[in-house]
Amino acid sequence: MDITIERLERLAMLRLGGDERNALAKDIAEILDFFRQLDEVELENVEPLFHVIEKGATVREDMTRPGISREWVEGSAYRVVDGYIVGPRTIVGEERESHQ
Amino acid sequence: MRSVNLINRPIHEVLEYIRGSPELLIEYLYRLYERIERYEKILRGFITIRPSEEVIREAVEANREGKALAGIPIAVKDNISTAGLRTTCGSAILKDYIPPYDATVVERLKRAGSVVIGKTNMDEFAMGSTTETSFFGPSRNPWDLSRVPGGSSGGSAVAVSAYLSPASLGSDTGGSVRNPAAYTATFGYKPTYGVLSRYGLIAYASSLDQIGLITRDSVDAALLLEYIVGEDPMDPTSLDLKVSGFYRIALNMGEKTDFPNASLIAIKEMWEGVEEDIYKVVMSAIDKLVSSGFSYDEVSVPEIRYALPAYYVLAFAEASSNLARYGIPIYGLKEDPMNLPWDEYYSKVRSMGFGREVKRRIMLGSYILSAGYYEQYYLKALKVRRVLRDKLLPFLRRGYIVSPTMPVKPPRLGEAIEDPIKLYAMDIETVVPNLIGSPAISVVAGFTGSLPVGLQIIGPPMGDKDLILIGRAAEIIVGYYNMSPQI
Repeated sequence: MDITIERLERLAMLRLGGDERNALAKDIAEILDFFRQLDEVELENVEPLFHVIEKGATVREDMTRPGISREWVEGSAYRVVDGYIVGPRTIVGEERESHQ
Repeated sequence: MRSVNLINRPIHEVLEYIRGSPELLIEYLYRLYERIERYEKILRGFITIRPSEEVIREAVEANREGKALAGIPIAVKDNISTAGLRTTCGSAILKDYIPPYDATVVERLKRAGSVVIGKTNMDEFAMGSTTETSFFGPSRNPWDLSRVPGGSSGGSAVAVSAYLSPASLGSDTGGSVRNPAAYTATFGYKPTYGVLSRYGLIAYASSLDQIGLITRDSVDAALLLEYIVGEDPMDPTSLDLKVSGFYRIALNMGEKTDFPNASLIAIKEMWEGVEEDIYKVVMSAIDKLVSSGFSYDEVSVPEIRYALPAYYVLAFAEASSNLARYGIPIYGLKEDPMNLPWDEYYSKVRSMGFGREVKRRIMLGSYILSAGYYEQYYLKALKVRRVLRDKLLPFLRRGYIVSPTMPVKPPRLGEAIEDPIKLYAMDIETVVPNLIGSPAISVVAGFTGSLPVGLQIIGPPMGDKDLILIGRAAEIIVGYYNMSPQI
């Protein structure tokens, strides 16, 4: 497999432990092999089928309807400050790269 | 006051008694809760069971208000949103999640007078074929307690087959309603893609998912369908199937009815790898149908061999996208966002909350969609999807495709789960209709020893009504429906 587990972890936003990693690496290699069967099909002039139904884009009436309440969201979020939901920080410092 | 034991009766019979008789309804519900009390600790079909006082109160109210479903309880798979009632998807990452809204299908059932009795066990995020990947532990097959009930809607099937609930909602992405229905001798129905609204169904693979029904027989599926179909403004992929009057036709079909002279078509490649004893039971069911006037022929569609890898490529890819939302500090498992930078935060929470199968699928799905591999796997799978659809629709225009629902007997607990390819191979029959958007059912073909065997019947898109009627004909001719295991 020509992609590292580390790269897959980053793509999937996951972080695995040592044993998990080894087991998964083996499974993934096997499964990709299984997927490669698709190379046997003649697909030269075939268009991909993204949607199985022919319904075009539909819109609904532009009417307000009850949504999720602020109370529910603030009650559910881990940390709320001044009515803002706090998320983890996105600026992580010059010494760390987020992308390879 | 007369006492009637309505346990083991399908909903269409129960309704005859309980409409206008809240006392009989209360007795029925008490018996259900007694059974839950007695069998749940072994079977583990439920993740959450609502308190009996609440359920009985709501049911009696619906009954007194003269609602059509008169307080009939329904079990709901735990990936279908129920307002105020915990909805976990069988995952640690949502183990305390309480949705603020009902799924459209749930809302419609409630409006018709049904009451949610509990949330059923499932493979985590519907990823699995045995209900063994559930964070809450596996369910057991009431027909053989050492074996799985199938999956991913295993709990829903357990509830119906052991009569802890007269019917269940499940979900079906690659067979997850039909698989457990086959393994528990119940009726399973996956609609045409779009026939049931997906609003409130927690997404696994959006182009494949459908809510489905697991019931005691096909008549109950026809009955419930009337209340839940219909276009939904909240789901732009929903379609408008008209079903009024259809339940009556299903109900009145009997021994004396002229059965439709339908054509049954077996695709050779779908029968490769089917175990010998399963093959025998399913063929004997088909023989009975042929004796009653159905025609049968065999055709070859070599491209069917690629349905399974195409399905899994698409399912993993879509799952990786749909599950990207978990880990945010707003719902589900969360930690203090102050402590870690964003990528470490999300990776940590997600790794804590997801089980191994889910992680595997998300990682593979991300890989499939990543730059450089998108054409190699994902686009190819979408092309195979079109090829399959183009090849199969002509058959579905002239008849119904039949196969065993499952190629193997229900595995013993722990047997299937270790080898991913072996696990995925269980889906070989059931992924086909999901890929092409067709409706499909599983009816009881018979038994091998004491283990149920299902016959899968696939119909043309939007042909759900006729398909369910064929299912009814099959039930009557083959002779198995409303089955109850000795627990």
